[in-house]
Amino acid sequence: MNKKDILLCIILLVISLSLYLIFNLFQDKGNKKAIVYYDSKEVLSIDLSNKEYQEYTVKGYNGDVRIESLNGMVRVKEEVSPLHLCSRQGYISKSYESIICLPNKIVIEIEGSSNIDTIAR
Amino acid sequence: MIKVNKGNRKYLIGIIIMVLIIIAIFSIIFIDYQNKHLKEISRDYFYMDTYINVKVYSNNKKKANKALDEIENIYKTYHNLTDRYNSNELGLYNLNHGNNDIDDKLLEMIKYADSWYDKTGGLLDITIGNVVDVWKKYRDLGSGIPTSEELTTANINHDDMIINDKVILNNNVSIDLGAISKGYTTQIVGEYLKSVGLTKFIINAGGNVLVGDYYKQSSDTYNVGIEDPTNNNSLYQIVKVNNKAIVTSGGYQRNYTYNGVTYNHIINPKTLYPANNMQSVTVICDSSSMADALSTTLFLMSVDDGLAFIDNYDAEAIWYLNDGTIVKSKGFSIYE
Repeated sequence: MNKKDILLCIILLVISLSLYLIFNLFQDKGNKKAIVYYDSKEVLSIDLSNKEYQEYTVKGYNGDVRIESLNGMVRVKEEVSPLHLCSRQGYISKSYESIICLPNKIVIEIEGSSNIDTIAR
Repeated sequence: MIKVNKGNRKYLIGIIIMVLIIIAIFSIIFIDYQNKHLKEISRDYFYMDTYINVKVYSNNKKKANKALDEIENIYKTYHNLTDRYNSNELGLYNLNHGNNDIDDKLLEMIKYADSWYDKTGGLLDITIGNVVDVWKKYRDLGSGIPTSEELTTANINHDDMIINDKVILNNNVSIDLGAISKGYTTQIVGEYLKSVGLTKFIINAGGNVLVGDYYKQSSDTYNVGIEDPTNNNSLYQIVKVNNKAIVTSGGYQRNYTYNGVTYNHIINPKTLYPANNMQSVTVICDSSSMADALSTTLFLMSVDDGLAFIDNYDAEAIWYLNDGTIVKSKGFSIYE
């Protein structure tokens, strides 16, 4: 191998390494979002970096579920269920928090970097 | 064939080595990338009166989805078998209503649950069903409490349940598996996932947690938050675990208040009244069924009795007392 080959080797190495770094940089570092699921399927994504008041309606098992977001927080405003547990829960904002509306099969989770994988209760 | 002279051959070998090195580098990068970026395949289930979420980490989406379909079957099957309020073939409702013909899976669960009766000095008693129902009636009403006569009438002697290859219930005994069914079924789901080679997972069955291997290819661990029983928007402890079950028993989720006293849903079979020694207790151990049994037992005991009791098991516990004090078992710090 002559000098040119070694140079080629180095160039390829550099390319590999930069590819690796690019791969790693392409991780989700997006805005904080609230994701609404109905029966495991994502039905709505709310951008929580938008601090303005926003209102949404999604279909739940028992009927419409009204959701509001404000100042990076999200809550269920109104829903059709016997105990209204999820509208009574109020606002959530931390990435490990979630709102679960069992009768409506609606789950709202906050997506964003968190070091908590799951919550025992 | 291409004729090569000595000089060219040297050159060719050089190129081949170079190409091999490059392939090796790329493979390492690719494998490392894949391991660090396993796909999360998640599914929700609504069984056993609770919200269940299972997350599997794998590159094989098809396989993971197939497993998640099967998990739906498992939860559904056990939901039907352990439901006390709806008629089901070979299930608990029919057993409690005089039909001794039950599914083997239910028989196994009853045997497992009842194996705790002696170990806990009678604190984990599945024949408590009728007493649970009396309390449920008042809890659903949201007011009043049963008279002690009502409770003693409903209370059945544990010996009225006879278990061999069948379960025989005398004197209208009603079995309640609420103390164990979620944890037990979750254990079966965890074992199923491991048996099909999906070892990286998080199962959360209404707060009963079972985690497998960590999903990133490193020696790191899952961080599981334990909810503050007095404020469901905050955590009071974070534990670092792999391949462990974390189960909490607490009175703070299902209860009602009457005349300034709060009555929860976990009934002490000795007193026939809801236990109120603490806000909640959380158990960490290898098996989700055992964690469920132990947490219920500890919730019924005083903290001192519980500290001595848990010492006999390969398990750790953390208590959140009524005055906000946190108590931890001897070896708990390994998870902190």
